Amino acid sequence: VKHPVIVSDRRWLLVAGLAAVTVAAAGLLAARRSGMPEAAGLLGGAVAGALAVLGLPSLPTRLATVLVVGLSGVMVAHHSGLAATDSGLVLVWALAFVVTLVVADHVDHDRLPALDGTASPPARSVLGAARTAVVIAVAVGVAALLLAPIVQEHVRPDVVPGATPTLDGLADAPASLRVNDRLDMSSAPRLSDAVVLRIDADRPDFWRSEVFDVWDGAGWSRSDTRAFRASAGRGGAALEPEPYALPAGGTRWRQTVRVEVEYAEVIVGAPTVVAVDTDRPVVQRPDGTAGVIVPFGKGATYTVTSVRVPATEAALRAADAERAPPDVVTRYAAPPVISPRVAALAEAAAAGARSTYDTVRALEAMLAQRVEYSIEAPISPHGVDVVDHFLFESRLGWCQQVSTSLAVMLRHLGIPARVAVGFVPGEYDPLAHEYVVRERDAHQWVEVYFPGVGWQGFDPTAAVPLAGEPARAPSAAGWLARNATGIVLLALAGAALGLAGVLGRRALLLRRRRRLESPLARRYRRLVSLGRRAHRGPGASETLVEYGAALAAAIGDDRARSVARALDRAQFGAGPPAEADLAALDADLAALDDLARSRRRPGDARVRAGGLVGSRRP
Amino acid sequence: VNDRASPGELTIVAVATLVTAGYAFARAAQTGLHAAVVVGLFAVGLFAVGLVWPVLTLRGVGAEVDAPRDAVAGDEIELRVRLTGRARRLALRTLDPPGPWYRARAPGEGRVVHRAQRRGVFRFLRVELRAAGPLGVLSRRRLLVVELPAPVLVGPRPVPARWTAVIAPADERAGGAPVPAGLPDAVRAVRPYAPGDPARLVHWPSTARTGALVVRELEPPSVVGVALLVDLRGDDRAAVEATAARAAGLGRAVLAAGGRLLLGTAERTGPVLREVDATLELSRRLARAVGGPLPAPPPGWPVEVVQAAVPGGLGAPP
Repeated sequence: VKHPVIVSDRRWLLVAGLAAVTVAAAGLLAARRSGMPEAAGLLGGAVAGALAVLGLPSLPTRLATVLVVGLSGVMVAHHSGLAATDSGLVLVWALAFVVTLVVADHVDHDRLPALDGTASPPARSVLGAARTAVVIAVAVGVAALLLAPIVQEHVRPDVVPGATPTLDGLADAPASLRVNDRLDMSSAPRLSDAVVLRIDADRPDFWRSEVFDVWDGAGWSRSDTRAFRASAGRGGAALEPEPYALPAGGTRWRQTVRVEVEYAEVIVGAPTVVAVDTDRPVVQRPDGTAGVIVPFGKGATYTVTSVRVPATEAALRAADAERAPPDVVTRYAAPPVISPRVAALAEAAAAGARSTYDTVRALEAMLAQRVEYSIEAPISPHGVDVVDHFLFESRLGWCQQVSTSLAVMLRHLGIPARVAVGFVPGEYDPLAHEYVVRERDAHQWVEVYFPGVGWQGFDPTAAVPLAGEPARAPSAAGWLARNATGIVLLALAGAALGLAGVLGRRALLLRRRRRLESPLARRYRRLVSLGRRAHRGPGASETLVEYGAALAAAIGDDRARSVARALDRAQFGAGPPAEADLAALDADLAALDDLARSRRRPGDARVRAGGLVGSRRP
Repeated sequence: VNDRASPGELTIVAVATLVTAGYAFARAAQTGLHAAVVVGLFAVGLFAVGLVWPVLTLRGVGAEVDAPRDAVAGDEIELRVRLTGRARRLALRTLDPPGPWYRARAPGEGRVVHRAQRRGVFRFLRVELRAAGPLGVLSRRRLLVVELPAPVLVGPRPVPARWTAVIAPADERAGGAPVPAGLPDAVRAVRPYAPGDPARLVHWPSTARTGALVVRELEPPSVVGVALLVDLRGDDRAAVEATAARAAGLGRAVLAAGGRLLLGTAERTGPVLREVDATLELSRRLARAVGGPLPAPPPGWPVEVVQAAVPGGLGAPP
């Protein structure tokens, strides 16, 4: 037994397919957000979408279609916004959503009997509806993207409590989001693709969570382990600036940080954070970093205000003219644990440097030449100076070894330095206007103190070349996931180009056809064009002479009648039309053309009245 | 001509887009998710496009209708509708009473079946246009009151009636009582055949008897008929229409029996008393008839008054 919907119109099958795509996109999004298998979300959505259209005979088919794709809209609204890859998925959903609605409306409309008595339109007519839908989806989508930042400013809360943190989350939380009293290097960092933070900021920066200033040869710790409650100020907790860290002239800027993991207990922000707007008590350390007493759970959002001190190379070189405060020197430039050969290496590398800044750059250059970056680097044996082992034995390491080496060598040279941990800016999501920070973006870098400027970050790892080992083989799925937005945009651009191509080809064919058409056909087309401008095209069963008479009545000019008669005579007469007749015909056509043009001017009631012109009888 | 557009009706698609938008903005307000804002704006954008598109579609669309001149109440008539302007994916129907919807585009034309609902003279036709596409968010409607090229005269649907022929007035009988008809072929005399006499008039018994052709001379044909006065005054619309229908049935019965029918009605211009010789003319006269003072009954004619208050009488159904 054939399904009644399919029997009524096979195009409902297409609608069912489109609804399946729409709901499948929403299902995939939901699966990603809720941790379900992606295949389950995809297949479940597709089956639900198709079944809703074809399998609910008690509901009108279009109603069922609208209900199921409307439900997918709520699902997308609920689950959207995880990462850049999801933006691509949302685009796919949006496109499928609009195409489904338009094609369903189109097919439903075609159920009505036609006024002109024609049978049901061909299945190809759906293509036109789909084209319209794509144009609408692209136009509305672009407008939504352009307006979203403006609306978001008014809608988005600066502070969101988020979910309750869990113990599982504590065990699974990235190290850079937990409070650490010690930063050792006994294990390689975990570098997954999991999104840990989403940061809405108007510029990229290194997002810092903690700093360490005491090196013991195997790990970092703090010289001052005190922590105290930040005082409440305007717009949240005001952090007490570290002494000498913030000279005058800095600019304040805000970042809104959304936690995407189950547990986080440090405040992450661009250096130097001076205020935190959150719903829970903030504690800060003397070094200017901060955390919360009650950890953040998933979805928690807070806003930090940072002060950025502009620094140029010239300013940093000129900073040596001023002496660093003794407190800073005592705390951050104290001789570290360092092996003699590392000390010698540092002294040799910095031999020609004229300034602190040049020294930093020289050591960075030395590291870039001496070591290679590898996350697979061997862990230093227990009891061995990590920096020494890294620089002279393994010569392989990741950001921790590289930045530690630089910090230790700088301190050996009497330059105040410390290491900072946190995250690199992450991937910018152009649709969400946010930086998507993943676990693999965890990073460690060096902060060097410049008198008059404050702490300035340096990332020596950036200059270190990758080790020669083969890169991790990229999977097709991973590539697709990373480039989903680009793929969708490319597909949209391709669709737009294809559409332009089709329209261009049609225009070309039209031009060619007009070039090849006979002189009489061209004149007939002119007459019809004139008629259509007066909203009176030829009827399906109207002869040329009848049409001429009707048009003459419609526009109130009898020349239309004589033109039609002349054309009729020329077409069906015994011999070819005389040149004089054709000239007279052209003259009449030109006069009618002028008349139509003059009536198109504003204020001409006859033309502006539209169809009423044609409704008058002579 | 009072064309007007109704604001239209929001559809389930509007509900779906608004719910999506509302939920997305609520989610954005709760979580601050940019993507939720984008989804909300997207849904609002679709809603806005869906509102504006049908309004623009229906702007500038006009209609012309060609209708048959005559119709009978309750019958379906075929109208030729021509749409002007430029629009696609329209739906169209006639009103009074609402007919079926047709899909249409402008410019375009076609035939529409319309039921002539009631008796009367109709110079305008109400045509309703509807557009909802492409998203189906808003079902926008526009009412066009189209002036017909010629009025449509919708006569009453006749109620079958019987009529007993009565002699219509001859001058000599003016003022006399109606005389039953029934002898129009009575033989008055016989006479010898003259060239040109129809063969059917040959009187065969006399011809046989005399041996020469003899033809009959007949009485002149009897004039039979009735003056039918139709009184449509009254507040009860149904009773008035039933009266018109009875009059139509009686008139048809008179005409079918070969009788003369003098129809007296009230029209907008005043009382009209005129002989009717065809059912079409009868229908038209009754279509134009309204409640009002009737003409004076003609002298010498058998008069039959059909009125709402007196349902019985000569025109009563068998």
